[in-house]
Amino acid sequence: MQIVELAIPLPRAEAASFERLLELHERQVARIAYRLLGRSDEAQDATQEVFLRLYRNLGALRSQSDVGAWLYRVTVNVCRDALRRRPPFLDLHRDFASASPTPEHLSEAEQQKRILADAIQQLTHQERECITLHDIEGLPTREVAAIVRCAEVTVRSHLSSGRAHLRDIILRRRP
Amino acid sequence: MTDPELQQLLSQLRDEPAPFPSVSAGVLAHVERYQRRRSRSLWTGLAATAALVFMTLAIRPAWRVEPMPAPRFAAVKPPAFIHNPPSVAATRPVGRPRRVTPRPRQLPFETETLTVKVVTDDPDVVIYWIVEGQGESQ
Repeated sequence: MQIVELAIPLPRAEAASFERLLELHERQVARIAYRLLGRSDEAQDATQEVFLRLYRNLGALRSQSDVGAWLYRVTVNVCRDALRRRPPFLDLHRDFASASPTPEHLSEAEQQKRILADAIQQLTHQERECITLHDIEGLPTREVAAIVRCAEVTVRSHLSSGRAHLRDIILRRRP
Repeated sequence: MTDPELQQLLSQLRDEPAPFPSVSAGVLAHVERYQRRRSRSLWTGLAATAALVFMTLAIRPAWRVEPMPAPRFAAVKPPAFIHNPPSVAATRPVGRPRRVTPRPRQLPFETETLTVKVVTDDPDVVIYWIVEGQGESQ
């Protein structure tokens, strides 16, 4: 009887703190996964996988800031795994082409955003990771370097080449 | 398009939510299943441990090695020691009686002998331990 009383509160506390973390970070993780993968079905699975990994490792993470950095890193890793498993001739632009109305019905700003989102999917995965984490999510280059596990100078190089590619793609697609 | 313009446009993408429903319900359902499984395995482990302890206690008397019985010591009273030196007259040839200057006679010791009989498991082995003393313990 004593064991029952001692064993139940711990998972409850764990679950409560986990629910709070899920609430805090879900949108961000989902957004990054979607930008890195470009497909909502894969991004949804990746987001779920990230939070299940978080739950399993909850005891090892001490502070809230630890959780944030950890989530970014795991999201990038899970998305890399998903990209590796992806069949070679998958239509990467399916989601971006079909999820929203045609560009003619959108405002100019919306059209630009859509073209940009589409252009991000044409970058290399390193460029996409660096652009997503630094330019979209606003993380400093040092943190991005820690997340993608490369040197800060490499991150800057990927950012520079990624932006150049994006400009080219946007200029080509502009009417 | 300049670099700052591009970066501004990119930062606007941050406000766009991912185009799929929240995964929280699915994640929490997974977590609940995981907890249930963990709790079940905990109880199974406890039950198995309890069963093991019970079995150990139940089987234990068969394993127990009977300790050797303590050796029994029996004090055996030795036969009374009679100090009876042969008389001089009986050993000497009959003849002129020789003058014998009597030597100061040595008094016999007040000897006390204790024999301890140690009985072992083996009925063929009996150890006798004879202790001789002069009135004092040695």
